[in-house]
Amino acid sequence: MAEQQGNGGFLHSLYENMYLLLVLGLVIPIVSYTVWGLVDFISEPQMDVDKYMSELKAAPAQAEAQPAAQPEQTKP
Amino acid sequence: MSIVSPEKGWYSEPLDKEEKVWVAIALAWCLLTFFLMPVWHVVGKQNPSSESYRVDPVKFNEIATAFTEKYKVGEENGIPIVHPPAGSDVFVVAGGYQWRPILELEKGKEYRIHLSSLDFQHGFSLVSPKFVMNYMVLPGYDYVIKVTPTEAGTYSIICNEFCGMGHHIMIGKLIVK
Repeated sequence: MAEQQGNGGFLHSLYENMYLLLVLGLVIPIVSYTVWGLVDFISEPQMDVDKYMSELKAAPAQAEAQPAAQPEQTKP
Repeated sequence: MSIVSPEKGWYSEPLDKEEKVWVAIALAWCLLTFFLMPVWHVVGKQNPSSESYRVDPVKFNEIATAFTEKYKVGEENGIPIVHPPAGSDVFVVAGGYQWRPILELEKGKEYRIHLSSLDFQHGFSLVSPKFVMNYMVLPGYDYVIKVTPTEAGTYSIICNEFCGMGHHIMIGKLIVK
């Protein structure tokens, strides 16, 4: 089509077909966003539960460190 | 927009001067707003950290329970109040129309707040007279936000995603000292 005009190229021939543009305008976002979402979903790392549990067992308790603060905090 | 395709070879027509100016303005505006996104992410200091992890809600609840028991300093209406060490990881659980525990943080210290839900999707909305910060809370995901409180006070946490019959009573609290 474009070659008949003597200029342009493949993309220019696409620009002249508005229905093809409409289809591409729908298909490309749908496919790319779906793939992006799936990649994001699959690549989500796992929370290191053991690390936090061991840290909480190892760290000194706040209640032991600041016993004087307890009565103030119990006020409603 | 025309219902018919333009004439063949329409792209061979040279651009008008005004058309060139408008294309240049539109392009410049697009580029400006595009580059402002990463710039504002750094300068604005209010954007989500986009740090999240997959987690079993039961496991997250175990961590949050251990955290609460470790640093509990009081209780308010059956909700424990915790005072975690400055700069530590803190855990907040959404579930049963409650935000647990009530956090008591220190002004000027950075914390990593882990948010997750035990039941449905909730909206963590931290409300203050000056700003509102919103984060999505989903079951099965640990969403981490880095927070450095800059002003002392008591802030409300409300749920801004309709989560059921008790949605309106799902109000938590964050204390900054």
